[in-house]
Amino acid sequence: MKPSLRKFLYGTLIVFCTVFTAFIFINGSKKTTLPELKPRQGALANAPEWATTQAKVKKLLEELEAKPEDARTKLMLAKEFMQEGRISGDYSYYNKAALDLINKVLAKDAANFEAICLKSMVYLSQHRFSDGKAVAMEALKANPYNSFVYGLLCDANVELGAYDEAVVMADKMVGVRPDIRSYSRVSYIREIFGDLPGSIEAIQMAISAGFPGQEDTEWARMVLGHLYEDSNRLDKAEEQYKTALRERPDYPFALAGLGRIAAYKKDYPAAIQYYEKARNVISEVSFLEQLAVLYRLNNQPKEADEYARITLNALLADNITAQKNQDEGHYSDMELANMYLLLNEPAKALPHAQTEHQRRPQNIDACETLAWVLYQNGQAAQALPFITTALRTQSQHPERLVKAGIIMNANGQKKEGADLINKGLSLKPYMDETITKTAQSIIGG
Amino acid sequence: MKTNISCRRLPLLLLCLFIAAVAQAHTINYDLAKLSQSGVAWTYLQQGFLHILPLGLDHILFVLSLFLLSSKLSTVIWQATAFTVAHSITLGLAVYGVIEPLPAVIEPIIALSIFFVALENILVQQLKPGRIAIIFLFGLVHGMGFAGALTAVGLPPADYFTALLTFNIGVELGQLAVILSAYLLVGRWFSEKSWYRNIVVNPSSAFIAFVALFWTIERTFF
Repeated sequence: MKPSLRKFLYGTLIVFCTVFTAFIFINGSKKTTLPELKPRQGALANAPEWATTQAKVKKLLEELEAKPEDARTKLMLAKEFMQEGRISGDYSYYNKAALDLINKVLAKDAANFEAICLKSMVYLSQHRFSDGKAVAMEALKANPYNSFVYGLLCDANVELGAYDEAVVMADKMVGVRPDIRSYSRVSYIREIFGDLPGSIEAIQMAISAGFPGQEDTEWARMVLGHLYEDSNRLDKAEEQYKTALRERPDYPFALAGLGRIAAYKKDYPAAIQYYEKARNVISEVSFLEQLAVLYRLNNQPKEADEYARITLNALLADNITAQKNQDEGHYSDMELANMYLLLNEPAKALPHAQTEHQRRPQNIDACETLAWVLYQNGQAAQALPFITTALRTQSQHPERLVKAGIIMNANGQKKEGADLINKGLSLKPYMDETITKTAQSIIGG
Repeated sequence: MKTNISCRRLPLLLLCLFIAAVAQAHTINYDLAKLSQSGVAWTYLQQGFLHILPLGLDHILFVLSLFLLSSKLSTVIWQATAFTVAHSITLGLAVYGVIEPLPAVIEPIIALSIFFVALENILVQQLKPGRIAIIFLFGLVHGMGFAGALTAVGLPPADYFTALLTFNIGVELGQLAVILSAYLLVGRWFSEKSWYRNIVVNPSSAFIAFVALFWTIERTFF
């Protein structure tokens, strides 16, 4: 190439890059990327609130186009996205969308109370419990008379295993505003402390405080169903799930509830049908995991393996996304640990159980998971302190009692172990066969 | 002469990028609060390295472009150091909330900078002193890109500085790993050969320029 041509081309390159940089700057500065609603699929598209949600979001987006800096509109849109994430199960997309809007508001006004509360809520939904608590504490400083903040702090403390603090927060919440949200928290706290009748009473009050058919009311009804399942009252549990389906047709968690009831009765084909229907409504990983279990119980190993693979990939992808970018995905180490146990790979479950425990060393679920994973890895002695921590609130969760009994028995505490197993099996005689077989061999049933 | 013109214009454009609202809140990751200082250092060193190798393909291509024009190890390391000093400045400013770079502006300019350096490799016969200045300016832009990555990871509430410092060291180590690999695989053995420029430098630079142009268009218009 001739030197003169080379010089000409080099000059052209400089001019081109300079002009293009200016263009990028002008074009990029104008870009306002507003997140949008994703279309719903299947039965969810027929849910009663979908048309209202679409109309609301459309209106809010139009308002934001007209007034791009309006904080109130941004936060209303963020709330809509968070609610849609819960209904559709697409937490990853909608949490990120909501968080982007909330952060934009906080960038202009760091003291915006509502934005701080919503940010805490998104963090909790992403399983970033310490972050959620820290942000909620900021909100509490700004306004100590808001029940929503106490709800956030109650949730964060429960997840972090600070149960006594959670009780204080739930008390304050229900004192400031007795409604479906505060009664639900009271119910959960009572359940953790082993007061099953009290827990049932509080969740019934929550349901009475809500509007039948609304998602939060029906979710509370699911909790009631679960509590009945855990206290050997399957008929009552079934009644709750059927009521929920009448009030909110195709409600996926109610379908899953009926699936569980069918599975307890060993009617696996019916259970599979319910879960297949539920998973077609929302993409909920726990439904896929249950389908893997049910297909195995129904002697369909090919389908079971396929669902196990899909579940594992979904959980791994979510966990990796959360590690790369904490604003997306959510930490799913506990679910991964349980999934590896299901796949009979306890060695792979261990690092995930340990990671979750490091994140929440006082949380009873994280302690129980680590203890059970250690036991499955042949480390019963190491499991003992963790299961002891998991039992410290006197929770009457049947599976936890049975697992604790098995671990105690393996550590030579025969009587305590047998008592716990008997108690667990009396509350839920129809629990997972893999656990009950071991438990019954211990108590000689 | 023309390099000087670009050197005068680019800072003006970069100054425009700095005119942004001061960030009110940093992205804090409270789950990292439990880490010891050495734990923070190790975590962010790894994060910095990972954001070059294997996650930072655009940064890898930029560093390879620096290597292609002159395979002399000392020259490449000088350029890489200028790049690191520059990106450390903007990364620090962004993390401490002094500037809030717009990804819609920064990401296309990063791609354009790779396109520029790769084509410069073809059009310029040897390294000129102005190249260091250009690389420094591009380093400022890339630093704003790293800030996006670091913000996504979040920062521990008590060890901002340790995290920032070790993240930068991790980035530098990642760059050195790319340079040393390229040197040991190609430069060490072939850079003195008469065919090196025609067979290695020009085709590789053209390929990098093509990829970078694609990214520039994609990040600007889509």
